[in-house]
Amino acid sequence: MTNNQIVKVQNINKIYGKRNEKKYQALKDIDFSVQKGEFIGIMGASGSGKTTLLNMLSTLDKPTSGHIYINEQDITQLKKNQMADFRGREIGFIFQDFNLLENLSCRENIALPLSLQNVSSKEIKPKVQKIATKLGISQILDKYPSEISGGQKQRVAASRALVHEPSILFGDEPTGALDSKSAKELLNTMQQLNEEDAVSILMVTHDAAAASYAQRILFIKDGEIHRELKRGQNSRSDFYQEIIQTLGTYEQ
Amino acid sequence: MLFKLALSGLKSRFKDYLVLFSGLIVTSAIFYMFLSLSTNPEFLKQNTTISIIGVVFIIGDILLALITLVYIIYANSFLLSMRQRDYGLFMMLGAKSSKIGNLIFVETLFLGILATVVGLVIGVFATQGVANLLISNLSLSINGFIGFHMPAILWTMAFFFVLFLFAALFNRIKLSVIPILSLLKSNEKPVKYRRNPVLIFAQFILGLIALIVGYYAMNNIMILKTDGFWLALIGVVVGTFLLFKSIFGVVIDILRQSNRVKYRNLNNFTINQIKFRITEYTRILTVVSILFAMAVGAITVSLSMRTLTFTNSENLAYYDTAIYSEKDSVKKAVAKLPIEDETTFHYKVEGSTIYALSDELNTLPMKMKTPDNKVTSYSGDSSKNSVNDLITSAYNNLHPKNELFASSKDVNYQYVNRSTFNTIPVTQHSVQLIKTVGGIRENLSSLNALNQLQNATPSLGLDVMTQAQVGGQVINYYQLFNSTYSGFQFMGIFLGVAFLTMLASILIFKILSGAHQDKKRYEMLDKIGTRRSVMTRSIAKELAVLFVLPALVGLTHMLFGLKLFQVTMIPQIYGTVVVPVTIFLTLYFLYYLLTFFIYRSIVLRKRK
Ligand SMILES: Nc1ncnc2c1ncn2[C@@H]1O[C@H](COP(=O)(O)OP(=O)(O)OP(=O)(O)O)[C@@H](O)[C@H]1O
Ligand SMILES: [Mg+2]
Repeated sequence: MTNNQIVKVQNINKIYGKRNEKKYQALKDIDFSVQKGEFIGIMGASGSGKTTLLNMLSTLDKPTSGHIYINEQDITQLKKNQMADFRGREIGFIFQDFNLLENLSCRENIALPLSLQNVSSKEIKPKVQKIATKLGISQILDKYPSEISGGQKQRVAASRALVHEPSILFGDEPTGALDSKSAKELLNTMQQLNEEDAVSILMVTHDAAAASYAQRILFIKDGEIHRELKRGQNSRSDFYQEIIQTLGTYEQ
Repeated sequence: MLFKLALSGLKSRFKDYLVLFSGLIVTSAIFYMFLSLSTNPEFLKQNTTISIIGVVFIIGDILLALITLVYIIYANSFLLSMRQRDYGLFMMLGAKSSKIGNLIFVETLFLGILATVVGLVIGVFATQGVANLLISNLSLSINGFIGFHMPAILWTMAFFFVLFLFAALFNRIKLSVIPILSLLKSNEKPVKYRRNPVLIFAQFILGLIALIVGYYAMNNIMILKTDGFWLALIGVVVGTFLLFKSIFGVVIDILRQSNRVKYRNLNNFTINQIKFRITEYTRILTVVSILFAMAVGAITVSLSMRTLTFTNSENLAYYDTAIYSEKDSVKKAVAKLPIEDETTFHYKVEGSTIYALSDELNTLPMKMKTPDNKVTSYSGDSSKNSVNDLITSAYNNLHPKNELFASSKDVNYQYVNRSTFNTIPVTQHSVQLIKTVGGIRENLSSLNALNQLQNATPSLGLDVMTQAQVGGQVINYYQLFNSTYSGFQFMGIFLGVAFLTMLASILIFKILSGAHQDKKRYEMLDKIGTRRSVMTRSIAKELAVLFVLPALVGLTHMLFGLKLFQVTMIPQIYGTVVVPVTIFLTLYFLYYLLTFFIYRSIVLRKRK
């Protein structure tokens, strides 16, 4: 393993269903790696195992077999507290269903990862403000999640995932609920983080335009990596065309 | 069809229903337990000597009714919150709101009535069980108390039926008034509470005044009489509620404004957990503190009564018991007593003459208590008289009625030396005075049993003096006082246990009823990388607020409330307060730990 790899996934399998239940294999022998500072898109039909994969990568769930190394550490072997700290410090996760705490205001939701790391209250405020401004939600910071729109929720969730400047960002359809303008803003923010701060990104998306921000795209089908697209030196619009074509071949 | 759907919704939240249902059962059972005493005037008359007890029970009825009301309101809002989403969904899919209204009406009423009936059955058994337990364990003498008491059953049914009828109507109206969208989102709504500083200040001042009036009334009950009880009731309840309402919100807000506190770990989350449920919290804190005061108060009064019974009897005699019987069973029982001090007098009876030993009279000390509770010995004539009386009554207790000495005046006492004594041709008897190690407090049951074995009931027609001598030991006085005070002791502990159960039930209900929502929140916290220990601490803090505040307030209420009993019955009550309070607080703390572990096991899922 070279030092440049931030994520290395080795032959992971995931089988759902307990002993007496019906088994379902959601992931089959997944094997890939991510370079430091890489922006990876993950695409695939609904139910193909994308969320499952992200859950494994972010220690929310454990693979049935196989290993996952992040920063050369086997995260399938972590203890509970180490996992929590890993999630709290190293990664940011934008969930498909937001996962905002409805009894905290947006500002408080975003501040949570910082509070958990005992960042001083003086530093917390400007950090929250900065990321909120970037994502265009500084007007709604004092509202509660039940009082804002779905897209706004998604941006709050994104702010919370980014506020502590994680070294890897996982996004599960982070632009799913956004209009094209807000989607672009979020994607630009992600790209900026990726380019300027070398944050590695893994993003699940159904949207070819969003996917075109990535440098590499993994296509998942029935729990397996079916195909891989590399952007290389192509422009984003060329890459976009290529993605559309690939998706087209999938549909046939 | 709709009914089936509703039923399936019920199944899917079976655990929550179980919590709700058992909470309601406990409430109606306790309500019945209390009424079984308070609606039983004969029992009260027979077992208490003090007239204020009637008023005390009416006040108790009212307080318990209030507490039950709060509980039911709370339980009902829990029920409603469980059902809102389901019913909102049905309505969105086209069910008529009147149909849904009927459904929730029937559901509420049915649940309520079922819980009341089951609660009553449990209440009857619990009442009998607790009564039996107390009577046998504390050797109380209680007359005319049985678990099943019809008036109490009817009152409980009527009260709960009315409450649930209102709850059902309320739910019906509420479901038809609330817009579908808010029904669907009911669980996510933040509580907006706009605080008007003037209003809060007014609440604070009013609360303070009410509390002062309440405390003042309890302190001056002798002047205010019955009015004092009413003033105390209203003052304390209203005062507690308003103070909690005003202060609690302010404290939460101050905490929320301090960034240092707020942005540390999960503090913010914890504070908001409380803030979100603040109306609920205010009511529950009020109710719990009053229940706390009543429970500790009842147990303290009861235990002081008990202590009073002990000290009063100990102050009146030096020896615990007198043994005069010659039965083998008595001898065996005496051999088992831990004896600290004893004196034995021998005597013989021939015709109307009692022969006793002069050297025993002169050398054996017969000890007594002085009015200021010091130990001395009888001396001179009084020594002789008391030995005379002792022997006479011992003899009287041993013999059938026709051979008795009606009074010590009928008897000729002869004190002779040992050799003369030995020549008198009748059987020798003895009477032994015993002081045990630990006295009646440690050996109560064996001393009581001994008395029964000896059959120490003083025979009729004896003068008081003679009776008092054999019957005049500590255990006999104890039995006398105990029969007077048993009623109070019984009521105290009985009600203490009832209130305690109610307290425990309200707290656990409060905690479990939020668990469903909290579980999701803690799952989210877990996902964004919160350590388990940090979440555990947050849980501990949130629960601590719920336990500590009412304990402090309740203790204060109780200390002022004891004044009522100090001036009417038990002057030294404040001297005996430490033990019951310590026991109670220990139990309370253990209960805190228990709820904490239960709650944590529900909301924090285990990870492999
Ligand atoms: N906890 C679970 N237990 C059992 N099966 C599960 C569980 N979670 C997911 N699955 C199954 O695993 C498969 C993959 O699910 P996953 O959520 O990863 O899909 P996805 O690719 O994220 O889909 P989408 O694009 O719709 O979000 C699906 O068939 C799903 O039904
Ligand atoms: Mg998914």
